[in-house]
Amino acid sequence: MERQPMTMEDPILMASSVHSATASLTVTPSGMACTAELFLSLNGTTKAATSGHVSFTSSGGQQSITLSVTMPSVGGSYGVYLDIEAGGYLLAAYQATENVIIPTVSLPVIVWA
Amino acid sequence: MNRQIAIMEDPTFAPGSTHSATIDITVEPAGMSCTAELWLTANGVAVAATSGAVPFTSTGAEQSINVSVTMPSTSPTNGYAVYLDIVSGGVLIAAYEASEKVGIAGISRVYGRITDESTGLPVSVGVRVTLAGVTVSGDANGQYEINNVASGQYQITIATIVTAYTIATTETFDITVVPGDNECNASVSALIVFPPDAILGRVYGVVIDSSTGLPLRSVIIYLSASGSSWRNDWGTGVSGQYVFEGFPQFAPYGVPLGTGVLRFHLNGYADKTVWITVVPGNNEHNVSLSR
Repeated sequence: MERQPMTMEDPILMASSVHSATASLTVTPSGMACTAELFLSLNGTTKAATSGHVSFTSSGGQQSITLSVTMPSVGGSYGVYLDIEAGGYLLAAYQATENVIIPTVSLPVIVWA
Repeated sequence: MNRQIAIMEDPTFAPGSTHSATIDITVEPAGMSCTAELWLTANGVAVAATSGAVPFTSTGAEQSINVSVTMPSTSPTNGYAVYLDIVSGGVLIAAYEASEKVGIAGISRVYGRITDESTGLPVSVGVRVTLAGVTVSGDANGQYEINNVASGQYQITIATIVTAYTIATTETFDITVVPGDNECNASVSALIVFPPDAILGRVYGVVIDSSTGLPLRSVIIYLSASGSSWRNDWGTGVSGQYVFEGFPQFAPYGVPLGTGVLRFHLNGYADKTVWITVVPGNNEHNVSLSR
């Protein structure tokens, strides 16, 4: 399944910090037992951080799913992926339009002139 | 976010001077729009001086960021801590405190107390402290203070005086002056013979011709008191005046209290001896000589 783009701002988040993301989506029909997983990856395959599978029941209309993710401890520009599954099937797969940036800053050396 | 330590040497700058600093740093990933702000603070909160937010784009590799800071005109006791903030996208992504502090030259203070190594009591008189070409005397509590010393390595000399003209003991040792206050106490072998100012007297007067009443010049006067003797080597002045008030370089040490003898001599006149009792402060003894 080819991933579809989803809108997301370009946040800069600190390594190992915990942040919640709210995914606004519509799954039809209503009453389906679903899961949503938000994960971060450098290569689209290996999950560097994940919300895990968060269960929700489709309402048939737009609903908000809250997903909590502990940011990777390694700096980098991470792609953000969202998978929606139901009954063991991948219903939808998205990649955010922007990446999450985990900055790393080396120990600086300050020299006065 | 807890501040981490950034490596920096310990510089000392003139008040109000402007200096640039190079920050060698690696920010990943590349392409981030960042700012670096270097600021000085005395308490970790108030900004005493700042480079402002200097923009740069991260390269993902080590890069040098140049910032410029105008130094404050005053200095706290121990100098200014140097903070570095790296911000991107409105987020403070790194915060550092430099390993050393910035000092403002010319406003370091060296102070301390000189005590007698045998008694532990403060040496109240006869102590001179020399540092960086400046000599000060200790006060009645053995305390001294030298201001406006630039940071650096010095030798400090403690001298104690045992007679009016002799520096009896001199002790020299190294001191590292850092920005702000520097306490330097010392124990010395103090053999101070000068009594406190409160029990010293000043003996003075005028010598005249008993028949004419005119002042006599060049009268030699000997003063003996408390086992010591002094002489006014140059004689009385044009107005016949004389004074014994101690030794100019160690003023205001004067004549010890007690019974003393003044002996006046001038060729052509009969010598005259006057018994006196020296009291604290002024002791005026006017004398007339006869042929």
